Amino acid sequence: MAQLDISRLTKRIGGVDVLRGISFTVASGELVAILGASGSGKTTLLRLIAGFERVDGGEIKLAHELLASPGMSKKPEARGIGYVAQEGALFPHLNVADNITFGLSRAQRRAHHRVAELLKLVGLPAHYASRAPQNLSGGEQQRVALARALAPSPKLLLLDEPFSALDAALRVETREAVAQAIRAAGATAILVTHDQEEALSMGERVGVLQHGVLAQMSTPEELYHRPATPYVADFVGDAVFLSGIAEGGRVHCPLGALRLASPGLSGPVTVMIRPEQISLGTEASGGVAATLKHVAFFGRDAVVTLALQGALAGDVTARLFSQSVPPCGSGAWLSVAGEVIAYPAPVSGAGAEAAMA
Amino acid sequence: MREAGTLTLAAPRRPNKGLLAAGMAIAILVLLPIGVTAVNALGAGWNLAVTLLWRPLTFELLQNTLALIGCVTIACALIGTGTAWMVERTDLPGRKLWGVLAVVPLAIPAFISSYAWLSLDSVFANFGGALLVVTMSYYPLIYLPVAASLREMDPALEETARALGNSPRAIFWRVVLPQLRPALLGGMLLVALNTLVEFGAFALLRFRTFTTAIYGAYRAGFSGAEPALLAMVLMVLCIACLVAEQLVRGRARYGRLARGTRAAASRYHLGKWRFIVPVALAALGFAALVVPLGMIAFWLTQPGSDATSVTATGWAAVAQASWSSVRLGLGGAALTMAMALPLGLLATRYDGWLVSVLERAAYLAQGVPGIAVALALISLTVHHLHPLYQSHLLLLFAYSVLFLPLALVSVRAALLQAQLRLEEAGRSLGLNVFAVLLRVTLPLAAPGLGAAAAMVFISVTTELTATLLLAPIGTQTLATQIWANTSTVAFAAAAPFAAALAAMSMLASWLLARRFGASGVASLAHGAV
Repeated sequence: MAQLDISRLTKRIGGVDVLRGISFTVASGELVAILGASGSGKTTLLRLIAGFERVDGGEIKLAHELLASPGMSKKPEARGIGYVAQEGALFPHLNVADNITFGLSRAQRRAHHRVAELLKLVGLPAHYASRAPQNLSGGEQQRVALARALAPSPKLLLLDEPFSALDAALRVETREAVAQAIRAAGATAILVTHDQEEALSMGERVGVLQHGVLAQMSTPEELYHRPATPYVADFVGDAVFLSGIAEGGRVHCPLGALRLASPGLSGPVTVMIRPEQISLGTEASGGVAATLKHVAFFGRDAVVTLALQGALAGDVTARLFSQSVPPCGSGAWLSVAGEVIAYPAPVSGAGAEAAMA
Repeated sequence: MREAGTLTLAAPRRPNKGLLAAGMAIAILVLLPIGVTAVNALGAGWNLAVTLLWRPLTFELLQNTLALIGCVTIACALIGTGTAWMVERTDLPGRKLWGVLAVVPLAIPAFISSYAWLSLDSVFANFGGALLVVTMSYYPLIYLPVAASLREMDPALEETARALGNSPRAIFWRVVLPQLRPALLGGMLLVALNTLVEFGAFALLRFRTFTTAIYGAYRAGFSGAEPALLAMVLMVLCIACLVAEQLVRGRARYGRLARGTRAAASRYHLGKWRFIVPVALAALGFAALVVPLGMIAFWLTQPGSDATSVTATGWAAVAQASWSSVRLGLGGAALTMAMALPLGLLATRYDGWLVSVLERAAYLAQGVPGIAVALALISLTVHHLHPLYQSHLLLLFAYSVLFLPLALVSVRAALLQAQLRLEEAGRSLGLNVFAVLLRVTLPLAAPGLGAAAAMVFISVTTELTATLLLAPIGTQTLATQIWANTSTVAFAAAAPFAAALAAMSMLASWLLARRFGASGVASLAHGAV
């Protein structure tokens, strides 16, 4: 296992800047998730690290050894980097054991080196070794693909949206099995995904890629609670955006005077509040008066749309336990728990404005 | 023959009696030549059969045929796979054009190529010449399925193999080739089958194989038993190839594991091979296309053809022969389609063992060489149905037997286009059976049926063996005129006929390809779907 250093990485494909100066480091044994919308350049980043494409600028170093720079590219087969493709890409002409040992020496292949151990690591029974890939479910195929990538003990493991082709129930189960196997193997790994829940739950650190630029890279908690830009805030979870004026560690906005997470700010700002920070109370408990307009029911919780009353007219959304949701049309008094985030540029237009739920 | 997947039809239904009777009659007619050949071969008695077969001639033929097939198949596999890989997997400049050029030789009959090479130099009248001509004619049968296979292959497989430490060369052997195996083996068996039944090219190049020996024995007026015995041996070889091909195709098709969209395969940089590969492909194009077409063009400009020719010459004669070829082509296509439609309807609309037996019987005809069909029909009509002997109807029937499998593949695919559930939707909207046929089934199946008929037309016009043996006296087609002139070394006299035939075949193939895609048509045309 080794440390990966990426500095000022750029890549142009067909006249488009796909990556524009990406720099980050993955510590030895760390699992980093890269989160990005389609077209953000996340798959290109992975392919550059794997060596399937050449870099246009910047450097990639693994264990302090230069792998790629402009005009220089170590062959993919010589890099010692494991790769798990989107849908597993198991070799259809080989059974599970032969797939797993594919990257090993001839002698090790014959001896079925580590097959049982690796199957156990990814949570599959040992008798799967002789199965044909066609007879595995999508999740099982992904686990075999992971075992195959881990078999040669790679210095770094790359996972390209490995769960996107699985259905919801299988996705969570496979995700947990894979995360556990990677931790057990102590592998340094990069996971690329467009699913924020997957990135936040699997990555020890998560990077958000926006149009070829790394907008933020930090722990999942930091990313969710203190997103660096409104884009990141909106991308990693639901967000309510309101205009406000910051002053002395507080921000005055349609939901009242709220405590700022970054006290240094002053002047007009955009306030970002997570819907689950907003709670509904009675007239007695106080707060900002609103009318309940719409309820989207999700089972465990519900997202309610609330129209603020009076001069501060506008909509905000709140996420509540579904049992505590009052009927539509009833009045409610809103309060905000915890600190809120503010960004210097104000939202255009006056008054409250709710961003997408 | 029944494919799995979305196209299989719903609940099994009992076939309509009339349709079933028609299907059985057609299957019996198709199997008739095999039966007649067997009766003729064994009718003379077991002892005579053993005496006639167990002699040096048979072994010489077997050795010639098998040696040639071995070499042709390997050469085609190397050229076809190599070309396909270059076109599909490298940054070869002009690869689209090379891809088209790799398929065009299919539209030039092998006996026309052999005419061209022979007229270039008589040095090609030997094993080497036969190997060259047949390889240049049949390597597209490998190129097409292998190229299709390469296109379908998931690029993530090769990338994963690279990340696991394999060089491109190792990946080719460990990942790419194993997945090409079904396409490659299937293609090789088709090449072997086509080489086994090829007659014209070998006869012109004076290379002795089973087909030419059977023809020789027949022309020498030997008893029916000797040609029939040789034809039996040839038929056994053919059917073995056919069965092996079916097995390979049925068993070893690796389904792609991944679904959904995927990126295009990354192409290898040719690097220092950048100049050598186009030169090699140009040499291939030269041998497969420029020589055949160029020699025809050359002989067209040579005067004095009248003096040496055994046939009528001049453009009037060419026009007349063209018209005969077109008429036989249309007649053959019509009769073949009339036989293919009932079988196609049975195969796509009904289930059951009888239906699948009938369908398989029809496909079996693919393993019966033209020369065996022709001799069987001659012997049958001479002895028992004399009014049919030397009739146009008999010739058209021979064509239908030969090309029914070809037509059936496309008819079947075309009828599957009109899925049962669409017909049911039509019925539920108030249309009766005939209205559904007219407004749902035929509009959906029409393009495929047209393609089937067109392919039979092309095959009939370029068919030499059956035409040569069965054409009524006085009927001269382009193919028979080329044959007559080339066998008497009247190359210049043969040229106008060869030019007309090559033009007709290439034009028709081009029209088909433009409508249905080159690989679709060519692979259908040779049963390699």
